[in-house]
Amino acid sequence: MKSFLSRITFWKATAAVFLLGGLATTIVRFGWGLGASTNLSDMTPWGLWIGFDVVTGVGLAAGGFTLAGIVHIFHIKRFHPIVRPAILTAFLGYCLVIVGLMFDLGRPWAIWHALIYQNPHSVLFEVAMCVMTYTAVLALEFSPVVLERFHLHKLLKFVKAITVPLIILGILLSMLHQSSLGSLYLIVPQKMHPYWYSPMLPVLFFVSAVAVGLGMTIVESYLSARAFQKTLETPLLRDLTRIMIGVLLVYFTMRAIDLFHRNAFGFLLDGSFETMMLYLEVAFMLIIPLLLFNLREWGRSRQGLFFTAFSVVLGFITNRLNVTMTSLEGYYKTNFGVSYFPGIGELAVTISIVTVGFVIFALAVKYLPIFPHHEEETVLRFDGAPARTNESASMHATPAAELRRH
Amino acid sequence: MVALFVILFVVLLLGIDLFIQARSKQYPIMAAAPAGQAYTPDRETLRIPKSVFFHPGHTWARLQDGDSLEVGIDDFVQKALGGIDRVLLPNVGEFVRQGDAVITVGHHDKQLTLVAPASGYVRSVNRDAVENPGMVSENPYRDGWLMMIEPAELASNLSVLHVAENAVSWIKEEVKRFREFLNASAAEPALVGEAMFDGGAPMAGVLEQLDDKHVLDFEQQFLR
Repeated sequence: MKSFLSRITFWKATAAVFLLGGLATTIVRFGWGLGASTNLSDMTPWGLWIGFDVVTGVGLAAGGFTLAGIVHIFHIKRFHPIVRPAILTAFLGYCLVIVGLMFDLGRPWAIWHALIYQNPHSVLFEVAMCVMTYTAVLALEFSPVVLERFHLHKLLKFVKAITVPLIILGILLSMLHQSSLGSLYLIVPQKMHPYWYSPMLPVLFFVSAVAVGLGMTIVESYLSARAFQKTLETPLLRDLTRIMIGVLLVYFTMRAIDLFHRNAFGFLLDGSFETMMLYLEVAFMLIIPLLLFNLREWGRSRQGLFFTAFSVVLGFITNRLNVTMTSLEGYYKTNFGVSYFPGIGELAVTISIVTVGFVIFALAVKYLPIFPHHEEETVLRFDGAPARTNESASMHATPAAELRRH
Repeated sequence: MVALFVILFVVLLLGIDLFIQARSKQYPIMAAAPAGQAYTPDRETLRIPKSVFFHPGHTWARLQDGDSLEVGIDDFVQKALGGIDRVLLPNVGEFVRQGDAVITVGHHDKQLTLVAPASGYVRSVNRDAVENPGMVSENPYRDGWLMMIEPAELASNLSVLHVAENAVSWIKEEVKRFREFLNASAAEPALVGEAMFDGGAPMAGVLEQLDDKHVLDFEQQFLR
């Protein structure tokens, strides 16, 4: 009992509370429906589950296609150790997006309708098809990890033989639906704030997803190092950070040009809530990462790279929630006199979905060959065991000799 | 408002995590290596990776992709020096011979010259380690590598290097020899400090307390 209690950490206890909250809401959601478990209404039909679980979640999982493309298509092999953690993140991310969608759909049992009763003119149809097929592709891309673990060599050989076509298909599908998630909001220009409505939304969604996919890989590598001493080398992570910042500079140049052409710069000094949220987005996604990365010591340390990437992830979340929620808040208030804030059930489900992601990622890193194999090493003590007495004649005679073998 | 709430919630979780880490001190999340000073996870231990070939002069080499050698200095010498705040390396394209003193590292006012563990042409040097020498102290066998060599006499070079169990035994002997060296130096207590006579005192950074003559002796006896 004592050893069980000693293994409980703050975060394990917190995760258990979050998961229990999610479980309770799941019962309410599927027992009594959306009305009982959410603050959604006919006027505000898309809330946190779409804004965070789906639109943000798909973007955060973008590291899979980015890294797979860099390594397998462009043959930049030094990034190879990053591909597996990135594909794991992507696979988990997409599975959890689907779980989130099951909560949000009024009739989740009818999700297969998209496959049979196709509406090729709908952006949602494209998103549905791409997410379904890309999740299948990700399962295949991830399968070598499992096949290796269980020594299923014949199957492994087959999957490796089709790796390149799979990667190409994955990149194609990702490009389509990462941008299509932006296209979803092209149909509501009159409802959105000018900061976030743009005909360029599909392109902006795609480019920002590329950046945050890299950021998530860096964050996970750091957290894995903390939990399991399994990580990637710092120079490799720094190169990833450099690429991420390069992509972000391209992204914000495009944003600035877009805002300028749509005369949206005029709002920048209006002091509104929307303006503050735009500043927050730019600060997290561009200013703070640039500052941190250029600080001499921080920009080179593992901790500095973590905070740089974490800031980008925060900025990305702010951006997606700004597009899906902040930009619509003014319209809801003006036209319907309502405002949306997620109910406790919505928050519980979203938090528990993220928690499940962390737990499964941790288990996968612990039990599957996700990160590169770390070489065995011996660790000796390096102290001046008694130097003045006879018993100190040999280090081998002291308990200081060999501490542990990894 | 939802976006702001989500961001504040995530920042709150990060803040709690930082607080927990800072309290437990198990993982110094806030501890970026100060300029020129090593971030040393454990100053009292020496790491000996199994796949690394050690030169008796406390440099190492690791085979990479079958046709190049990664080269660096070992944990023993960087710990004895108390960290690394400067690194000088040969130029790219230069030919270095096994046993030639070609690597210079320093910490505060002390400086050591170390030998190449193998012969060959320098194909690249680790600019990151030169600009941020703390990397060498933090992880001398991975991020803190110093140069990449195209080996010229690999088979004969490897025969004088220590590896695996052989390397562990050799390092143990080196620690013992180092203690004896410090005892001999301690005939002049001012040079190594009273702590050495108390027994069990850390040897990490002890070279800093030696005068230049003894540092030179250390270089001749351990790094050649």
